[in-house]
Amino acid sequence: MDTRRARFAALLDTHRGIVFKVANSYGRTPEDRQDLAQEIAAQSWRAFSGYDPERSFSTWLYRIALNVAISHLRSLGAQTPTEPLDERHESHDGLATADDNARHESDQRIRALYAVIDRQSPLDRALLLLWLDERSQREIGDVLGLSESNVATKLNRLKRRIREQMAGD
Amino acid sequence: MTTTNTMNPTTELDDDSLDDLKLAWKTLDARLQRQNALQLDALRDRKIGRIRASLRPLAIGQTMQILFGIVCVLIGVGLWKTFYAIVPVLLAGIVLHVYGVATIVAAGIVLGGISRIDRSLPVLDLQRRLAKLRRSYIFSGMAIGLPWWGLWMLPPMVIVSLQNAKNGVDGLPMWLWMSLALCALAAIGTLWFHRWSHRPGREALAKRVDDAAAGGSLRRAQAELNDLERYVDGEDR
Repeated sequence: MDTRRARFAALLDTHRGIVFKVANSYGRTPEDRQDLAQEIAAQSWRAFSGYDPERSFSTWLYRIALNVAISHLRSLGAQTPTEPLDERHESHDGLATADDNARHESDQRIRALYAVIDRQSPLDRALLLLWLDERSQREIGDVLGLSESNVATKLNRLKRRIREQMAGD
Repeated sequence: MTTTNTMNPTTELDDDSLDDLKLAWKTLDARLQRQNALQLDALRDRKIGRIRASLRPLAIGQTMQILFGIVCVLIGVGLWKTFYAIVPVLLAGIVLHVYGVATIVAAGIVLGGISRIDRSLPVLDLQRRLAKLRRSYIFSGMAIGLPWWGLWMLPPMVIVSLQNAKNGVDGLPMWLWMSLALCALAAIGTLWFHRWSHRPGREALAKRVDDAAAGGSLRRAQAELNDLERYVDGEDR
């Protein structure tokens, strides 16, 4: 039991970026995002007994993280408005950097990224996250349950829609 | 929104804008790794043992429904087996028996759906299963609840029939026949109205009728399932 737990903890630590990226993309407030990250970790531990070590851990973790996040978002419904982007972004970063200008620019970039993510449906948001994370089409299909050709079609449509959305701003 | 201009100051809508998104994602990734490295310890130690099993209340509810169904079957069998010579009681026993079995089957279908929920399934597969589970649960509730429009008549019918048999009186009193006739008329009327309201051209009325019967949840579950199917088929937009 302890060995399995230690193995899980090590794997989760290595791939913790997936948990936090999904939680930050689907959560609406800082508390909500923290709860979501914890829920993802908890559900991952619960499902870990069924994990096949021959298969990719990141794919497996992405599936759980996105499934938990989409269900979480659905359970919230329209009750909780998404927190303004400035606050969300500020909550990510408490560290100061030497170059304030560069920092300001990257802050703006991240804020704009969240604006794009927030405008997508829960399923398209999953597709976008996986594409941004530079996952292969095969892995994206594996995570979402789509064929590679379907992934390619959906990605093209999504990119076109994002360009249109950005053009409309 | 002004923020997107920072993403792509030239406002040219070529792949540069998408490259900017990827650049922002990498920056965010680096920041999250740095900021959240310390939080993971707390996350592991405090929360992993406290799993929020959101489907547990549903499973408990369905188990209770199975127990309720077993009680109905036992009473129903007891009635038709013991008082098979008294026709109204025999019929009440059979109706209760059938209702109990339907209750158990409906709960079994929902429990089967719960057992197939695995969070490590591909996203669309799991979301589809969850939507189907929601739909089964709502159907199950309706199948168990709606018959009570008529089932409430069973206890008075059984009591009166047993008393009549004891006193050597034949048949049922007129008020009971009238009540049974009213229940039958109400059931037929409900079915007719449901079919009539769902004919082409009455979509708005059909939606209101369905919402009144299942509180809108059945329609939402079905719409969710339709959305998922459209997404898989590539007709999402």
